[in-house]
Amino acid sequence: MDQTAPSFEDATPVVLAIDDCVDVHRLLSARLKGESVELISAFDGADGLERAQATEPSLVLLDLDMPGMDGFEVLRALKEDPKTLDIPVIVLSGIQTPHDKVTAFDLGAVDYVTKPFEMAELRARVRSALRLNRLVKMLAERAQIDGLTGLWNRAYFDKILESEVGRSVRHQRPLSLALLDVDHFKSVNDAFGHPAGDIVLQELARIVRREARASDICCRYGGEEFAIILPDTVPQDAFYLLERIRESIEQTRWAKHPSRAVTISGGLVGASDRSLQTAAEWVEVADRCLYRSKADGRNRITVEDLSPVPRLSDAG
Amino acid sequence: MTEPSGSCAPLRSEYADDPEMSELVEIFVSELPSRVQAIEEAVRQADLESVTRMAHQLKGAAPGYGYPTIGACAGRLEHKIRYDSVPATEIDQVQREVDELIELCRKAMRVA
Repeated sequence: MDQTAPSFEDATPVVLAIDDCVDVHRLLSARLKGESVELISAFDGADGLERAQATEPSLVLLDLDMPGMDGFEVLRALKEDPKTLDIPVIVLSGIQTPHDKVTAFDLGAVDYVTKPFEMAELRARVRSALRLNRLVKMLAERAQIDGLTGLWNRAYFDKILESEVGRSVRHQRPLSLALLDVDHFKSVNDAFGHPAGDIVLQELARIVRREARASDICCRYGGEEFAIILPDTVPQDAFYLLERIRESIEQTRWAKHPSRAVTISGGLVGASDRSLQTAAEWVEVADRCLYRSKADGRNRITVEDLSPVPRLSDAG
Repeated sequence: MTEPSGSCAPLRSEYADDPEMSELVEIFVSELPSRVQAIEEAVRQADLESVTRMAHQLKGAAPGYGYPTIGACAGRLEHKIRYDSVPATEIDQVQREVDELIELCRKAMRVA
């Protein structure tokens, strides 16, 4: 997922067909040509599962009756893996017992087509499953996006910070976290009205997104607070980026209040090769830095670099 | 031609004129001889499991290539072995279905 600009637009959806019968793949590739999908073929269950995990397709067409790992086993494995759990699966089967259908649906299949399939019908079912998948994805993303600014919301921030902190600790990778707060925001609202305040927040979000890199995760943390998670970034580099944002905001001229500039204060915490253990600790330190920026006169970034200081003994 | 036309008339794919499909139909027909051979061989060896598998695949695939009669015939053969539990020693019990299936495949092969 693109970290700075969530988008609901799908590239050409990938459809993975898992079937041991070569004819099925040939027929599908001929018959789905007009559907603007990219078709990937797997000829047994284990290979299919591997490809599903590697490519995270938008739809899986799954044969039940395969030697080795059969379709039910593949379906169960797909639904047990959080990475592939949400991929819709249409079961294709030449075996037509009500019991199989019930099992397939209970395991999480969205649809069931019996072979030999009527191609026009299968095409329609593929379209329908892809449509549903697009909606589900869109809703899932929407639930993580802040409506006013288009940035990631607080819930998403909490989830991602947790996983980025974990990753940084496990792999000894650098990580930085910034908390930004608009200075005297309440007075903008009071003097120029809430619509003007909303415009300020939207414009600040635009600047943050413009200055940040594709790998940075820009969030609206609270009312007039923003947070940026900067994976694989040492605090010194994060500081340059934050300074660019701060300056850019300070220099912005506002149509509704040309003589009232807007500034932000920021708290930045980062580590080059050692990390605090929990997301809560990271937020706490960043918040403390933010508080220091406010106390020191606002419109500034305060940094806390948690990287270990080289000791004399390390220098040899 | 001395044979009665009803039993030897070539079997034409329903999709022979479908531009999306014609190439695939040709491939399917060109592979029919080896399929027929494989079925005959499996029957000769009384390998019911292979016969069932090949019948199952033809049942699923042939209609897709425009040969619903081959598909239906393969389906009858598969059904008979699976659900009538024909033992391998009595493979001649399905000989009629096997012959019928092979005959239909030969008719389809004649078009190419």
